Amino acid sequence: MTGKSSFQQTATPVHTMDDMLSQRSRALALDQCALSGVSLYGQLTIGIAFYLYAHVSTPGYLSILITLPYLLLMSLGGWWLARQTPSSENAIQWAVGKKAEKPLSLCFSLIFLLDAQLAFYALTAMMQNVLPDMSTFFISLAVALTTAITISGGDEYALHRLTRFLRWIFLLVFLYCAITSLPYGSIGHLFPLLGHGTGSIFQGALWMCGCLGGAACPLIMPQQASTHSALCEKRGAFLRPQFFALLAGACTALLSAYLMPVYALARPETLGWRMLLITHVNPSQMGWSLFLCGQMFLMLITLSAGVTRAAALITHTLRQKNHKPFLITLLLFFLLPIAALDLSAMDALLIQIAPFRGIAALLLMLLLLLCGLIKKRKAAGKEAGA
Amino acid sequence: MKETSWDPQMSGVLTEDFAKSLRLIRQATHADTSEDVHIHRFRILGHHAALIFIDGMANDTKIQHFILLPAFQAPPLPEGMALEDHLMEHVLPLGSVTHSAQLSSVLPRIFAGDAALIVDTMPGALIADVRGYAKRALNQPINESVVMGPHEGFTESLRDNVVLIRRLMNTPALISEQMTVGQKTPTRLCLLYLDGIARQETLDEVRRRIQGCNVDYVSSIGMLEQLIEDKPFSLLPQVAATERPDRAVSFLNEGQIVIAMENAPNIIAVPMGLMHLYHAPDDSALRWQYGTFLRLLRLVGIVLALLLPSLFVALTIYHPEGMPLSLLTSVLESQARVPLSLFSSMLLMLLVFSLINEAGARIPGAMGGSLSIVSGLILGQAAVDADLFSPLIIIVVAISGLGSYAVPSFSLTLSLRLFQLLLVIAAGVAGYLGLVLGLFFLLMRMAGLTSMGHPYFAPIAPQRPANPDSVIRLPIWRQRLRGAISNPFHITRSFGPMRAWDQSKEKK
Repeated sequence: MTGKSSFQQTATPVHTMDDMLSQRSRALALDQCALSGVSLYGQLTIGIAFYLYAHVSTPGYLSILITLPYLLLMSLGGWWLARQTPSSENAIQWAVGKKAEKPLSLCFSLIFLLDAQLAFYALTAMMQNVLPDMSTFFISLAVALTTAITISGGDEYALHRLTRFLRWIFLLVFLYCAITSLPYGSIGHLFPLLGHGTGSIFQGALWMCGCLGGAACPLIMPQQASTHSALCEKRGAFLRPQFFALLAGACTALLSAYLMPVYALARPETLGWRMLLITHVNPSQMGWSLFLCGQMFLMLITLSAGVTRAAALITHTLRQKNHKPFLITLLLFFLLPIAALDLSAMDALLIQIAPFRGIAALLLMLLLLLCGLIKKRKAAGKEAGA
Repeated sequence: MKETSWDPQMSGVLTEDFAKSLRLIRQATHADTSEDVHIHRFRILGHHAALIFIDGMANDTKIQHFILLPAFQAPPLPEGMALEDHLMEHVLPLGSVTHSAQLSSVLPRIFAGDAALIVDTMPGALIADVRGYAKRALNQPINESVVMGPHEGFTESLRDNVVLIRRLMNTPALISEQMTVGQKTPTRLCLLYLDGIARQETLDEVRRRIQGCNVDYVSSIGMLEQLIEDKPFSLLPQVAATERPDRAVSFLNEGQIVIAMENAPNIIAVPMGLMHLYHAPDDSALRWQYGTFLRLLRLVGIVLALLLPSLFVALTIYHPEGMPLSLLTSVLESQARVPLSLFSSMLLMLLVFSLINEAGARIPGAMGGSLSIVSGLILGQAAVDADLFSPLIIIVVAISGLGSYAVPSFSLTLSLRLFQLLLVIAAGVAGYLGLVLGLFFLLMRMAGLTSMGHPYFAPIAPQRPANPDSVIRLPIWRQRLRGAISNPFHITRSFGPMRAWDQSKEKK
């Protein structure tokens, strides 16, 4: 295209190529934030059904709200680390150096794997509850294979884009289900206000911290330089989905307590039953199907997010280019425990180890922050000396 | 125009040696065996000359009036002037006369309807545009009818199609770049774009892909689409096709590149996104409230077409508790009399419905009535009476079919029908689990799809600068951007208030 056309003469250039590139990086960063928010909400939903109903009961929402400082520490810590990191490196590498990067990255990837394993288990348990005649192995195989084919075959940002595309649909579905179920609850169900006592509330908060361990992941994950800087710039856009997810999680717990009497919440039902709690009180048939499909989608996105992050971190740490073999291996890794153990054994195992991922994530983050601070002080000392 | 390889006998240079040049052309055109290849010999300014054209492709009147008659009355050759220049400047009163010495570039022009003139002592040949073959007159678009908006559609003539677009866009910024595709039988095509509005890198990519089509003949624009699309194994269309000039102009204004091809009554536009397939041609012609309402209806149609049969199968077979009791009773009662299972009945009915559609598209017009009788009475009424199908299944398939007819893009309708079948199978195997897994797979593939590098879900995900004109349509005066496809330097299409006369806004 040469010369000045009539269009060029009439339209003043209002965007530059830099504008366009930074706009694209911002869009990618926003997609990542959306995925981070939705997968956090997915983890919180699992945590509520897995632990809070039975062990904390009515004040479960308080346990979630208490985790706010933890979420703040993880997200702002991750954000600070990312701000200090040159765009050519990832935050872990910058903070601890190349030698310690590998074990730390593997630890983080284990946390993401545990997130994904919980989502996988929750989805299997939920479907087992809905389709009791179908074998657990068939369900888990169908989920693992579909997820493996889907996330290994497409574009690496497909999951981010899809989550952003679906986020309002999720909100609408869950709002619809919540609103249609409201007439069937009772304010009296919220009592006793402290459930099993403050100890259980704090224990619940500890459990829920495990669900928030991956909160800082978009910032500590290896990514393109432009996306990295866009993420660092847009602190509000990064934090908003996470806090929205936390609030939505608290609302979900509150709604469940409002709908079900305390003895029904504490009843030792399966995880699958507890994941679909709202459908047991809501007679709206349309809402039932919508809720079930929404939950399944949420679990699939949470599962895919966990596996993709773990695979990306492992691929980057091992300096590999192709992450597809890791994805497939990791998904088969999920299948084996479900095939080897039955659901109740998995339940007992996961309930023991899942809260530790929150502590592990916190310790890793503190270590990174400490190393980052030392490095920054050293650099400042050198500068002053020079 | 791109140089094309041809038969070995086609390569050669036309020189001053008239006899040799004529022999070369005669051999290459198979004039001795092809009866429609005419070689008219005569004398011009005392030199031997031959006019080569295809009977029926070239216009006899134009040949007579603008080549032969002026040749007989040609003024003498001025001293020092080359013969070809004299003929072009003083003898042939035609708008388009070019000179070429390469046989490989002369022959395709002859077979496209032009006439080639070779003259003794003149190197090369003069090619005069005297095309005049039979073609279809301008008509209404058959597959994209609208209530509001123009009723003119493209035809099979490339030149007419370009003219139709030019007539709507009187601007020098509209560039029409001629190319050919196909190595043995080159087919002419035209890249149309707005200078400064279309993005340069996209344009280069389109050129690169067309030039990289290593095939002997491209018979249709659909074939070209398959040769240049990003992911050929995807079930979703990756170009936007239209047979309406006004829609093509709208694509151009958005910064898209339009490809028109000889013998194709529709054009394709690249890059595109899902929203281009969802929008109908008259959306902008209608007031925004009506346009939005129709779009929402269309969205319901797409959802019904894609999900209704599979939801019905999943609910009835695996999750009956999700159905109202009265409906469930009715389904089970009617299904009890049918020998086939509900899943097989649904699959069979969907196949029959697709068969009726395909038969409807292929059947000669005079037999259309028979098809209505066969599909309506025999397959509908009689199948229910004979308890071959449950009436509810016919209703579900009919509603989903109705939804698919609301989709403006034919390619999207076909892909929806394929996805519909796959989702029914998934729902039949594992109920909601199968349905959601199938849908997750489909949506992830869509989210990862690109058209000439442009993400399929843009401008929603990833977010791109865009008008409030995606799922719903806000007023036209709120649509101030061209869209993310266009050149970022000229993305804004309106500066200042669009309704500049409206003083009330200013006061506020």
